[in-house]
Amino acid sequence: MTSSASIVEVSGLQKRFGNHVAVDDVTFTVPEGGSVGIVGESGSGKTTIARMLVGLEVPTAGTIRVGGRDRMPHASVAERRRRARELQIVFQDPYSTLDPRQTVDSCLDEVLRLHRPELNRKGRLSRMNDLADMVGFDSRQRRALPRRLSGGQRQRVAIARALAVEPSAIILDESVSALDLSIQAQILNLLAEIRSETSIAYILISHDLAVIRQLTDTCVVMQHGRVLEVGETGAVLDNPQSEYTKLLRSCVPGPGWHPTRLRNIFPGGS
Amino acid sequence: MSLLSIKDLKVSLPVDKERRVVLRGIDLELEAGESVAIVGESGSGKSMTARAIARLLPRRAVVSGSILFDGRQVLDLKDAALRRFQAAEMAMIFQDPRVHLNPVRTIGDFLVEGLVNTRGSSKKAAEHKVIELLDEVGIPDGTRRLRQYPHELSGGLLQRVMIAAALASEPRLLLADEPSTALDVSTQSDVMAIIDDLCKSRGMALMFITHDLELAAAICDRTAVMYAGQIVEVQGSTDLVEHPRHPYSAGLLGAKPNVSRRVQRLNAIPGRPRAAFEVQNGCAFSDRCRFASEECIASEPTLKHEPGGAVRCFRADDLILNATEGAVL
Amino acid sequence: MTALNTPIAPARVLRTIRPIPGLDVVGHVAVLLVILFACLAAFGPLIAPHDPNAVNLSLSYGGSDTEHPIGYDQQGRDIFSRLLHGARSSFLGPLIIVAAASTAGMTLAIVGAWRKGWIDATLAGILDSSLAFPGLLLAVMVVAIVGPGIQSTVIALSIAYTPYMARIVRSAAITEISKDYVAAARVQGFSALTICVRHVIPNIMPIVLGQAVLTVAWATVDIAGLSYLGLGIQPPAADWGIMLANGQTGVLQGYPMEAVSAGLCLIIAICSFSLLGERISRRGEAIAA
Repeated sequence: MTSSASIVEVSGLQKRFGNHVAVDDVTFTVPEGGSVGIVGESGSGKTTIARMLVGLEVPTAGTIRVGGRDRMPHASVAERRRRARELQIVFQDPYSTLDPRQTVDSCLDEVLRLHRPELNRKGRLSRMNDLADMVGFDSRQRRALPRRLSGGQRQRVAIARALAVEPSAIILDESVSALDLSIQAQILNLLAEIRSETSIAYILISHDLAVIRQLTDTCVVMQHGRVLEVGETGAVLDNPQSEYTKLLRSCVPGPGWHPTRLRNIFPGGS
Repeated sequence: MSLLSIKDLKVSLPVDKERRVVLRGIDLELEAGESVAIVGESGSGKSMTARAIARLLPRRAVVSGSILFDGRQVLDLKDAALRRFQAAEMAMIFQDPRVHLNPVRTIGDFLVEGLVNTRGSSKKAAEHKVIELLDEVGIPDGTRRLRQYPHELSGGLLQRVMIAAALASEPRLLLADEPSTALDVSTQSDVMAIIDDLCKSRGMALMFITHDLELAAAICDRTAVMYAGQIVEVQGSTDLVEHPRHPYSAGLLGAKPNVSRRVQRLNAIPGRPRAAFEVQNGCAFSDRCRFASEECIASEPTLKHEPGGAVRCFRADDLILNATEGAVL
Repeated sequence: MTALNTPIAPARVLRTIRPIPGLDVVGHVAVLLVILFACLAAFGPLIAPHDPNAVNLSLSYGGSDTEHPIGYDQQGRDIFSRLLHGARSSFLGPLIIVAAASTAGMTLAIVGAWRKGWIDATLAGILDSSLAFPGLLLAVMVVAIVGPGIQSTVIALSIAYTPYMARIVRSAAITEISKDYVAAARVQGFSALTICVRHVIPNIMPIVLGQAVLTVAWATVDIAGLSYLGLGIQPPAADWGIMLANGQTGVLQGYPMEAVSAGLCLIIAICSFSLLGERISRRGEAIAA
C-alpha cells in the first residue's frame, strides 16, 4: 500500500465521539491523479473521514499519509499552509460555503495572496481570470456577492477557490447533492473536464451511486463506519459482493425498476 | 367525472413589496384511484401546486382558476367544510416529517388524537386502529412505538408514521411532496413501495411530487413535467421516460447520471432553471433550449392536447427526442 | 427643522425620502436624534452661551429670558449651558463603557466559540454566573472601595457589561464559526486570527453594533443613576444625572425646569439609542437568517 504513486494513504483510521464509533478501521489509498468514491448512507462515517483528511477532526486512531507524509494533529500555521496545497475540500451546502460579505473575486484573491505570495496584482488577476474561465464565470458574476448567485454558481466558486490553491487532490463531500438535476450535470461535467486538464485527484463522497459511477475509478462502500467493499467502480456497481452494496444497487430507480418493501432487513432498533 | 380537476390555476405570492407569480396556469385531471407524478426542479411550482390543492398556501397568496374535487370547488371551501376536506377527503405528506410532529408529544398522542378528533371514535378503538395502520406501513411493534417520541425514531420510520396518519382518515387523495427525498437510498425505496402498495390496495388517488423522472415512472401511471410555473408535458410515465416530447423533459433525462454506465459527458441543460416570475415573452424554456426557433422566443406555446398526453412546445412535432443519446432533429 | 413650518409633517417627509433603506420612520427619527446628541456631546461645550459653573445666588431659580432660555438653577447657574455641557459628560462615560465592554466581550466570546471544549465551557460558566450579579451593585461596591468619581464608575460598569455583550456575541459567533466557509478557510491554511478578523467579526458585526447601541442607553441610565446618588460624576460638574438630583429641591419649591429639562434630555437620548439598537439587532438577525 506504500506505492510512491499514492497521493493519499489512509490506514486503520478510527474516530470515536464518546462511546459512538463513527469511523472504524478504514483503509484505502488514492493514486496520484486518481478518483476514488466513498459511498454510504447517513451515519456511514463518510463525512467524518473527509473532515479527518483535511484536519477538521482529529482521528482517534490510525494514520493519514498525504504526499508521503504523515498528517499529525496540531500542525503549525506553516505546516497547515503546506497541507492546504495537498488537499482541498468542497462542501455540500452551497448556502454556507461562501462568506456572504465577500465577492467571488475577493474570495479568490484572498486565497491567491496566501498561497501565491510571489504573484503581484497583475499576476493574481491573470490567475483569477484562468480560474473564472475554468468554472465558467463572467466578469459581472465575479463582482457579485454570494446572495446574488444560484446554488450551482456558488458551488462553482467553491470549486474555483479550492483550485486556486493548486492542490494535488480535492475532496468533494456531497458537493453536487444539493443541486438541481440540470445544474448537477453541469457541475459533474465541469469536474470531469478539470480532472482531464489538471490531472488532479478526486475523493468523491456521495450517497448517489450514479454520481459515483460517473466520476470515479475505484470506490469504497461504507456502512456504520466500516468499509464493506473496495474495488473498481464499474465492477463494484455491476457485480456487487456485499449484501449491502447489492441492496443499495437494487434501490436505484431505472427502466423497469419497481420499489420493494424491505420489512425483513429493517433494523428493529430505532 | 374526475376526482380532481384543475383548470387554469394561477398563484402569486407577496415577496417583499412586490407580488411574484409562482403558478402560471395549471391544467390537470386526476381520476379516482389514479396516480400522477409532478416532476420539476426547484422553483418550478410543483410543491405550490400540491399546496394549492390542500389549501395550504400562505394567507396572502392570490389564487385564481378552479380546483374541483369530486365536483366541489376547493378554492371556495370555508371553515368547517374546509377542515373536513383537509382532514378526511385528502391527506398530505411532506419531505421532512419532523417539522410536522410536535417533539414533546408521543407518536401515539399524534396518531390517536387525529382519529378521535376526525372520526369521533373512542380512544381505545382509535389505538387499536392505529396499531393496525402502523403494521400496514411496516411498523410491526406498534404498541411500543406509540409510547415513543419523534426524536427516538429514524427519518424513515417517522415518514411511515406520517403515512399511517395520512391513511387514518381514509382519504381519497394523497398528496406526497417529495416524501422520500430526505431519506437514505434504501429507505427511500421502502417508503415509496409502501405508498405505492397502499394507494393501489385502497384505491386512493396519488399525486406524487418529485424531481426524479425515473422514480416517478416507477410509481405513477402518468407524469406531468413542470417548468417555471407551468406544465410543459403530460404523458404516461413510461412513455415519457422513453419518448419525451418536450425538450426540457428530454434534457432532464439526459442530465441524470446513470448508475449502470458511465458517459463521456452528461447532456447538461445550459443555464439555470427559470422561476415563474422571471419569465418574459415567449417559451419559458427558450433561453436554455437548443431547438428554440424565432417563434419560441417571440410567443408562448400553449399546452397542446394530443392522444395520450399534452405538450407545450411549438416544435414538438418536428423533434424526435431521445433521452439517453441526447435529442436529435 | 424647516419641515415643521411647512404643512407636511416631518414623518411624511421621512416616509417618502427614507435615506437609509430598510429602516422604518421611527428608526430614522432615532438616527437623527442620536446624531443630534452626538453633536451636542462633541460641540455642546463650545456653543454653550455661558459658563455652566458661574454661580450667582441673586439669580437663584430665576426665570427664562432671551439670553437664558431655560432660566437659572438654585445657585443661579444657566440651565441651558449646563445641559449643553452635561451632554458631553453624560455620553462620554457610556461610550467608553460600551467600547470597552464590546471589545472585551467580543474577544472572550470569539476565543471561546473558536476553541470550544473546556476553554469555552469555563468562559461560559464565568460569564453566566457574573450575569447573576447586578452591574449597578458592582459599581456601587467599586465606588465604596475606590471612592466616588467618574473613573471608578466607568471601569466598574465596563466590567459589568462585558458578560452581557459576550453572551450575545458568543451565540452569534458559534453559528458563524460552524459555517462551511470558515471550515474551508481553515483547510486553506488561514490562521484563526485572520479568519476571525476578516470573516467572522464582520459577519457578526450587526449584532455587536445593535447590542452596543442598546448598551449606550443602559449605561447612560446607570451613570445618571449613580451621579444622582452622588456616586458617579461629582458636582459641581454639569451632568444630567446630577442636574436631575439637584433639580429635586427646585421641584419641591415650584421651580421644576432644571429637573424636567435634564430628565427630558435623558429620556429622549435613552429612547433613541434603545430604538436604534433594537432595529440594528433585528436587521442583523434578518441578514443572518
